[in-house]
Amino acid sequence: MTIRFKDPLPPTVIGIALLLGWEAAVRVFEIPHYVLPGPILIGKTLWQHAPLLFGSLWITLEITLVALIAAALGGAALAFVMSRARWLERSLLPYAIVAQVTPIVAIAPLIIIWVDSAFAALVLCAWIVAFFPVLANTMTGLKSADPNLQDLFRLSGASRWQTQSWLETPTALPYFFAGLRISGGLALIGAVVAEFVAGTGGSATGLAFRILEAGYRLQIPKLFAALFLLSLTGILIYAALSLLSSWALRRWHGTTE
Amino acid sequence: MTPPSKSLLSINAISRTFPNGTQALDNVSLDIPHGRITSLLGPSGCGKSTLLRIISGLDEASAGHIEWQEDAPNTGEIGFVFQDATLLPWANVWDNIYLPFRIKGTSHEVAKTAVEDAVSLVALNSFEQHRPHQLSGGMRMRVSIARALATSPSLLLMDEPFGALDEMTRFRLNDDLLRIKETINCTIVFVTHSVFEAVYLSDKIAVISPRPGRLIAEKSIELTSRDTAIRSTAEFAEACGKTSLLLAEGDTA
Repeated sequence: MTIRFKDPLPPTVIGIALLLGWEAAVRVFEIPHYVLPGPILIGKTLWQHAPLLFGSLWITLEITLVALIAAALGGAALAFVMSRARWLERSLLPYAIVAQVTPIVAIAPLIIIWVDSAFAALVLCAWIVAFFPVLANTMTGLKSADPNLQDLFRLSGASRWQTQSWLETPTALPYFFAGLRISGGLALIGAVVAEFVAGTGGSATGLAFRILEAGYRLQIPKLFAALFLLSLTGILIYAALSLLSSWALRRWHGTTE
Repeated sequence: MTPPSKSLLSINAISRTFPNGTQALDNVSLDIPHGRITSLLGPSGCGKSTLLRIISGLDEASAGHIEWQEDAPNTGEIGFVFQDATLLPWANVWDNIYLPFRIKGTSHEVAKTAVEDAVSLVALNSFEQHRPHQLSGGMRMRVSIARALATSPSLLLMDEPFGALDEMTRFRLNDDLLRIKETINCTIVFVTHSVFEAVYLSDKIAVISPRPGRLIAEKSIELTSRDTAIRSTAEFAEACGKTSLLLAEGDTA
């Protein structure tokens, strides 16, 4: 289900009011900026450190997007394989669930040790977090074809392949996209968590490390600036996936959602 | 007025017990006359849909068998209309009717005439590009009938096709079905729980008892005409009354 802001006025008003209240509180109570910086200072800091922060954002975004694409392809492919036969589902699904329920912070250090390339290790961590919603939703979708339509395909002498590609896959498509929208947020979370664990310094580091670094150095405005960029990224990913979904499902309009 | 007709198939002592122990059908034998409309009439859950599925090959009898008078139809030669329109929601009217051809591997060009004839038969000519959600319930059902008829099946099985529609639409589709039946020569087996619908449409009615379904009676229907006017005649009322009595007998038996 897509969340649509039909009337953008109420959330905008609330947002502005909150920012004003925040800035006022910081000034009135003279809260030191290393405890809670005001939004104006955060904006200034973001501007000052823009090259550094946007460079880091790009790295985090790259990890997130590669992991998300892999989650979409891998989750859907796994769902197809498992839907081919009950025994495949019974043998593979438990391991997909194990990967899903094991906290990523606990296995990230191992993955970082085992995988040579830091980029590949981070992508793998983000993928493990992100693929399950696509897998679970697509599997549900593949099984949701109208039983009467399945009978109709049988009566018409359809092959397994025809039923899968002309009935089950189109039926599963809205489910797949619902899963993908969840995976988008999870891929970002996975990338950030993995970066926290990896914690490598140097020039090619993502936003999560900038947050850690700013925390250690008590550069709280910079921490907030990085945090702001992360939230914005998450929102943009969700919005982009929602657009992609409604574009891809335009023929389903009026039958789903 | 109905001349004796040879049968297309015979249902021979068919019983069906589901794996969970429910007995749906008990020793049903019935001839389905060639080129006629036969209705299976009975209360909900009496196994008449199960009988239809067994005839189509979607389900198998626990005992008894279907005997075809000529060669048994090949895959795809039986048309089936479900209670719901059962259309692909993402495909337009044309593509939905084309579906059985597509499965058989018939190209668009080759199937074109058959699909368009079927569209004309149900009078949906200007709606070929519409998708199901843009159509009314009655129109969706007409698409479903067109899809079943497009491949010119020798046998058309209809499982309470108009049960979910309002009465006005239902009357109109009953007339449409009779008109279509005049145009194409096929055998129809029609499942319904409506006495009026069964009497109006059928040459023959098989009355089936509540679960487990047993054949209570076979009744030939001979009306002087089949049009809207006959619905309000004493002749029609009498035929309905007699059929209702048969149905009631099964309930107390």
